[in-house]
Amino acid sequence: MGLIEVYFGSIAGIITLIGLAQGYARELGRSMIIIVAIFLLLYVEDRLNPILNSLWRMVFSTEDVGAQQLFLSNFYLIIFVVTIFAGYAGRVITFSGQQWPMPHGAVLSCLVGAVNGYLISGSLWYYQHIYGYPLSSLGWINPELSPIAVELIRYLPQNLMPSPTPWVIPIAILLLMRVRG
Amino acid sequence: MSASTPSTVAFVFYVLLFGWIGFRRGLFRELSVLIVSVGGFFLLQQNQGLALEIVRQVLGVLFGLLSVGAKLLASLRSGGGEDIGEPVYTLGASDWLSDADQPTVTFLVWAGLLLFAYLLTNKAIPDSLSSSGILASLLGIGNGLFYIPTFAPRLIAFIPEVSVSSVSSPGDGMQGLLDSMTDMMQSSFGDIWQTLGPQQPILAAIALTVLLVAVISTLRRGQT
Repeated sequence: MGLIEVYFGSIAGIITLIGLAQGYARELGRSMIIIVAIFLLLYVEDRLNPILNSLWRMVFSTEDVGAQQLFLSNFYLIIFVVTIFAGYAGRVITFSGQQWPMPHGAVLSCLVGAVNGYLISGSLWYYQHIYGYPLSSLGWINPELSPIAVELIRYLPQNLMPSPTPWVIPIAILLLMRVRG
Repeated sequence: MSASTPSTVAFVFYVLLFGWIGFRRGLFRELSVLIVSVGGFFLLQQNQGLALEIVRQVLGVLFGLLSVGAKLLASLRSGGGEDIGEPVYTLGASDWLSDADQPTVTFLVWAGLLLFAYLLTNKAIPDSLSSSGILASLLGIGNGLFYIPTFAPRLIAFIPEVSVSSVSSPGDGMQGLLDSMTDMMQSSFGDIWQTLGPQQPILAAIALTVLLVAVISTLRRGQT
């Protein structure tokens, strides 16, 4: 199993390439979906965790902390992934206008794709990190963090903006811009 | 007014200056310089020996030419018939540059590349290809922020009683490159980020918003 930063960096790289292929006009709508998903999960996390913990104890009648962490981590992981999949597979909010032609357009598509890649892979990493890398018990990821990984964790989206409130700023501004047309 | 106010004002001024430079020079020029500066920096960090060797070769050719020229001049002055003896310039490039000079030579090569990139992009990229806007300003600011950890430790050497710290830890291969990047992150964005304190989340949100709005504004401009 390779280094964790390579694992999540590869996910970000693939999403950047998707952004390059799709064009930034479409990727911007997906950025909104991703930001909304991050906001919602941050908003409900503190409220939902006690309920999920109670539910876990009620159903499985066990106090196994590792399994409980795995359950919580997977719960947020699945919700996040389903939301992102809906954003990529379905219709999203689009902004009017044409995108720049090559090569400028490709650069901007890469840029927006990289932002989306950072938000998505950073969020996946975050939900592993705060629950103690429970997927490592399944052998899916390497829990040993290199100095680079430790440094990068400081810059995960949810660590940069731990409160849901700042996430409202880009959502509100982008919605205003969409409404204005 | 707190003790950190002057440094905050200086930082804001620095950011505004590079934002303005980016706006004036345009997106494509700033992007080209960013690629050259970041790419060149990390590549040179990984290949310091190669950079030194190339500089030695170039200097060797220059010294050789100087030596031949000097011999020729001496020969002409003596009328061409007499023995001109030993060559005037006997120093080689390796006498000027020892292996201990690797970091200095690498930095000078990078600074030269950077200067060349600025001059070349000014001349080679027409205004019509390098549009001004928020994105261009952001790239300009990105360039400016990258120069802080690369230039600042060396400039600090001019100020007495302040130690000079290295911003990079050259190593071998990919691990060395990643180490250099980690050092760079810690010594630039990490330190800047720490000084922002409790304003970090709101500034991150503003940065993300400005970036997305800047990209959306290009859609509007391209509207038909």
